[in-house]
Amino acid sequence: MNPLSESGNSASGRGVLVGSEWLSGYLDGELTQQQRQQVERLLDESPALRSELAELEKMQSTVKTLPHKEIGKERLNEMASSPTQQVTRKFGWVLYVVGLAVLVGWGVFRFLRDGVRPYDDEVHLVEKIATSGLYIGFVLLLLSVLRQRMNEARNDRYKDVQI
Amino acid sequence: MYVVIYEMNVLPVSKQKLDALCEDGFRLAVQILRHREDAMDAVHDSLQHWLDRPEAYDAARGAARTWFLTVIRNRCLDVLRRRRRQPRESSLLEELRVTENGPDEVSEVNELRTLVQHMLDGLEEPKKTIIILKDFQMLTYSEIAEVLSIPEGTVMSRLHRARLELRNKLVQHAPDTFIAWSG
Repeated sequence: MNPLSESGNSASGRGVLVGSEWLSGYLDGELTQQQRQQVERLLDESPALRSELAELEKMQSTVKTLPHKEIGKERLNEMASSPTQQVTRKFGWVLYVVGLAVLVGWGVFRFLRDGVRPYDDEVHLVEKIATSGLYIGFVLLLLSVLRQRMNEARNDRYKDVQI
Repeated sequence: MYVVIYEMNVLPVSKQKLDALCEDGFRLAVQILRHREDAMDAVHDSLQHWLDRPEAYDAARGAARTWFLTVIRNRCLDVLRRRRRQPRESSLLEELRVTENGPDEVSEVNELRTLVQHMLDGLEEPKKTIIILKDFQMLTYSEIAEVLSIPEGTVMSRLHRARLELRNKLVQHAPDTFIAWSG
């Protein structure tokens, strides 16, 4: 019978309350000096306690020596290289958005300035409508992606991971 | 390509440190998920998350290792939840062999390791993880509390209960081996 886990009293009956979890704390070196001395006194008095500690120690040393897998250099480099794509993607987005904004702005400006001239020799109405549709479509797609990214950023469960 | 990240100071860690973090995270993920490719994905996703949001890790608050392991663990929990919703065929879950030697050379040590690994796999996730974090990853109680987001004062009791359950499983399933082992 383990005097610690059963009654919370020491084997000598002194009535000192020592939880059995202190054995793990003792094994892991996480006790204060006072607690360590208390446990060592109990270990001296109790073969059952010593036996339990020995079992835990053996189990711990076996877990420590479980073979572990490694990722491997090639895969590590692969993981790390994808972030480069992230960086270039961000640059790409910035350039794309700026270029598109300029084109759309210029297109709207010209459209408003020149008005609708269906039979303009330079640009036919159909071309103006098609081009406008293209620009508006791109803007709508961009806005939907931006909205999605903002939602993801807002709802990211890991953003508040604190240490 | 690998060098570009460090030249641009995307992450506040050296190349060697990042490699070590990924290997650490992979060891943890493999033990939780027991599937090499899922573990790789968990590490990859965690790294991507960090690179997308480098500000998520604040060096002033603590060690990068503890933070990264927290993220890895959370990713693993997501995978486990998905598995419960969409169970995989058991044959697809990789049998991660514990024995280092060939089948003709199973030694007593390997038999014990196999037994312990098998019993560890049978523990519920929180208990398995706390044993892995302490005895496999060798974190301190303080670091374990951070990774698991639990009060530091409860780490010792939870760890001890997990260890007792592991021991009881060993006694129940392989009493002869356990008796010989604990000598």
